[in-house]
Amino acid sequence: AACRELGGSAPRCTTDPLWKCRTKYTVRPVGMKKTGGRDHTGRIRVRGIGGGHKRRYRMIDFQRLRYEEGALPEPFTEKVISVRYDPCRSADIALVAGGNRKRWIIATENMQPGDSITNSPHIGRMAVSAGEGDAYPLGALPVGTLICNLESHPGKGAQYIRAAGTCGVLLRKVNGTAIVQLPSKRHMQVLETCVAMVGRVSNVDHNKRVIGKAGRNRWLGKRPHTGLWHRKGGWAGRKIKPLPPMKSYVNLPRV
Amino acid sequence: VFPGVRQAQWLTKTKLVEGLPPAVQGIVDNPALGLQELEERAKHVVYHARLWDTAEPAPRREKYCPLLFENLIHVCRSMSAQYPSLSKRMLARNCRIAATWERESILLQVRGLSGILMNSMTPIPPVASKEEILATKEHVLETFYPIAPTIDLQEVNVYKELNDTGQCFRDGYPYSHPHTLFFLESANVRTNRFRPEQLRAKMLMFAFGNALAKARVLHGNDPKVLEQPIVVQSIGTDGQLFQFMVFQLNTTDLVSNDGIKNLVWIDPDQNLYERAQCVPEIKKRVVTKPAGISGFQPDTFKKFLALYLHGTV
Repeated sequence: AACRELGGSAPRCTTDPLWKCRTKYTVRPVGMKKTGGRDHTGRIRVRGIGGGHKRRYRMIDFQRLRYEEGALPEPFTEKVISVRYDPCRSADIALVAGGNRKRWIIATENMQPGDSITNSPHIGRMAVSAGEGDAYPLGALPVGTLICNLESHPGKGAQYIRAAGTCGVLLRKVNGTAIVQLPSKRHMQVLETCVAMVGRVSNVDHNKRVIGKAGRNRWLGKRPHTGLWHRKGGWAGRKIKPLPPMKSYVNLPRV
Repeated sequence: VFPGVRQAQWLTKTKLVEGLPPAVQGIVDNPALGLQELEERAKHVVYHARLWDTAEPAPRREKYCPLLFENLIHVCRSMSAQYPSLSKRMLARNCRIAATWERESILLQVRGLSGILMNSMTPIPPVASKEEILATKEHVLETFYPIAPTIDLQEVNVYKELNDTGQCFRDGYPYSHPHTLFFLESANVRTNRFRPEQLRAKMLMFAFGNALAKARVLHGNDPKVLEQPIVVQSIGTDGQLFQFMVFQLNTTDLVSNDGIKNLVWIDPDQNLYERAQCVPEIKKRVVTKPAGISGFQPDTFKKFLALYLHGTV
């Protein structure tokens, strides 16, 4: 029988070039190596990145329905232990614990330490009245709920609607697929078994903050822009365009 | 994650009682011990450990913590003129402890160096009365739903279920009963030290391990309720804060959640002194905090002494 023991600690090196290759999930923050906008050849690929405060990466689990080893694929609850600032993204992150493991997830707007959140993969006939922070497949949610942390394919992990204060709206459910409006007002069609989290992402006043000085941008790791005015830039001014067509991630059989 | 003591309580099937047990409290309040000059000596001990011992401006924690402990033990041992049975004690350092037990079909283990152990020839008499022991039957262990109680424990493949207690408890050894465990948190950096709650949880787990190993030696490996509960004390400190704990093992039947539970009395966070300034703090040419020890609490030392004398008085 496997049995358990008390463990130890060791800090990790920050200049480790393989810091992204860590396979085992851990709650402790991992030292990151900054790229400065340079790609693998060493030349600058993206301008304007460099410097800034040192950051440690906390491994966020974007796949809410990740079961522990040896656990059954059925609904389970977790408890929120703490909500904290994450230097690597605009949203706040929450430490949740359930069963024998702890993980970081993106926190929603009104998440407090001590809340319970549920994760469920089942789609019933009636829509579930989901509280904030719960994760359900889109087919189980009522039309019109605000969601975040959306997946495009079931089991892929959340890639959409993760920034601070954003939320998508579930517009309608059409035989086996669901249509969601993203924060850019674009419509997206996904299978109804894709899991999403209910609520708005935390740190709602993120876009209202005032940077205040050039130095604060430098702390965030942004290098200055060139001041040269390009006449034909075309970036300024209001743009009025029709909505792009609905993006569908559902592979319909060819007719 | 959450207070480690609560998790340790579930793992060892223990009920918590605040404060020290009445027997030890009786020794503290007993005026016949002549504690006045002992307080003076305790104060000298603190001065020595924190201020006088070193050539650098201030001694580091890994120096002053063991030194403080040694001197306090010396002061306590000097009472053996009055109580001759005090000389039947033995200190053991770096004692390796190993105990395994099952808790609701999960196998748990305590392994490792258990700090400093003090053994005596005679066991400590049980501290709780029979009624209290029976009353623990109704006490319900708290659940941590949805968190499993074994969270944050390392998973290890066990090849041999060891129940060994080192050289201390083998038969024929004169000092065969565990009396008190001492834990010194003396890492210099604060992140390497245990916080007070974690220290209390560690004390509870090791006291339980020692008591369980002793029980297995005395009564065999079968889980059952003990006629003679085994009492192990433990004191943990980081040089300034002291945690006192008395653990009584009532049962080795740990598989089920009901029945008689073990008991632990915890007296947490006793300060021996408030501040120890090596150099006087001067702000704007005025001395705000003079050099020396301020806020010395004799009560903490009295409790230390009481736990030391418990079992012989």
